[in-house]
Amino acid sequence: MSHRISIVLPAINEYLEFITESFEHLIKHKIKGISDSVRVKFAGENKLLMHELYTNAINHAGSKVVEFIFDIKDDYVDIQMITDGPGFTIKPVNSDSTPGTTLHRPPFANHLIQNEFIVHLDPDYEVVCKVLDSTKLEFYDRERGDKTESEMDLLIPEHFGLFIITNLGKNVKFEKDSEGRNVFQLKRKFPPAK
Amino acid sequence: MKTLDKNNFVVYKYSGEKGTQLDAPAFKSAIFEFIESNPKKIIVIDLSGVEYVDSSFLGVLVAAYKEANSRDQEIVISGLTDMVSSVFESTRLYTVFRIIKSVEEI
Repeated sequence: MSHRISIVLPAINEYLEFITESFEHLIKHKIKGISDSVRVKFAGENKLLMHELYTNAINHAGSKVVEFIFDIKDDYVDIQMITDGPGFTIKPVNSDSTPGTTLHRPPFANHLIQNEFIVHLDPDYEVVCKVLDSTKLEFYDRERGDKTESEMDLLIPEHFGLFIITNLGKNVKFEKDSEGRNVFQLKRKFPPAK
Repeated sequence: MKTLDKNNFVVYKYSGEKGTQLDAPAFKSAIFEFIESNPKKIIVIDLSGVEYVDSSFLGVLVAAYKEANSRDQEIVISGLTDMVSSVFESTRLYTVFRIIKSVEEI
């Protein structure tokens, strides 16, 4: 059983609470039978996830309109956020975790395809952006390998929102589709019932 | 914002119910000024009245942490509500900050 729900909003802060609360209502029936502590944690994460997605569209994507499509499945929900505007810009961080100055915008050049860029770095994790083709990106976070003592002090909020999104969502992807729309998509799993 | 000044620490009480991108700029100015004007070893940021935070607000906390570190001070977070606590857990910031329930734990 799958349900598809679509919500279209102007990309303005006034609808932020509406979309975070709406998402919570939409999946409420899917999280029955879980403990209160898990429920609180899951609700907090959902609110944060939707908040980060929507504010990214407002602040960074230059969008005027945002469409959310929720495909609610048995164990997870597929979230698509479709926006207008120029789309996602790859801005790799430097190895010392300071924000880099190189920018890559879609369509991504041939020499970038299959390359990976680190777009967020913290003491333990990094967010990797992989260029799948000229219009598609994939994001994931991974634990960092060997670290020097000084690197443990690295703390940079660059793309912190993206780190949160990749941490809370799975299969996080961006695509500039054939109509020039920006499609950001991810999967959010429901916690298992106790 | 209210402050509670003890011997080795001082408390900055954040008075809003939310900490979002809309609140972050004013909070950043206020907390940096607070750090600068309080040479105490420990700066406690009391978030007990806060129901929700986003990455912008967390970014300010991280910036405050770095600023305090550069002055040989420590930022300690107190009074996290369940919802905000879950955000700290999701973002792994609980590994960065010392988190306490109340100033009695200092």
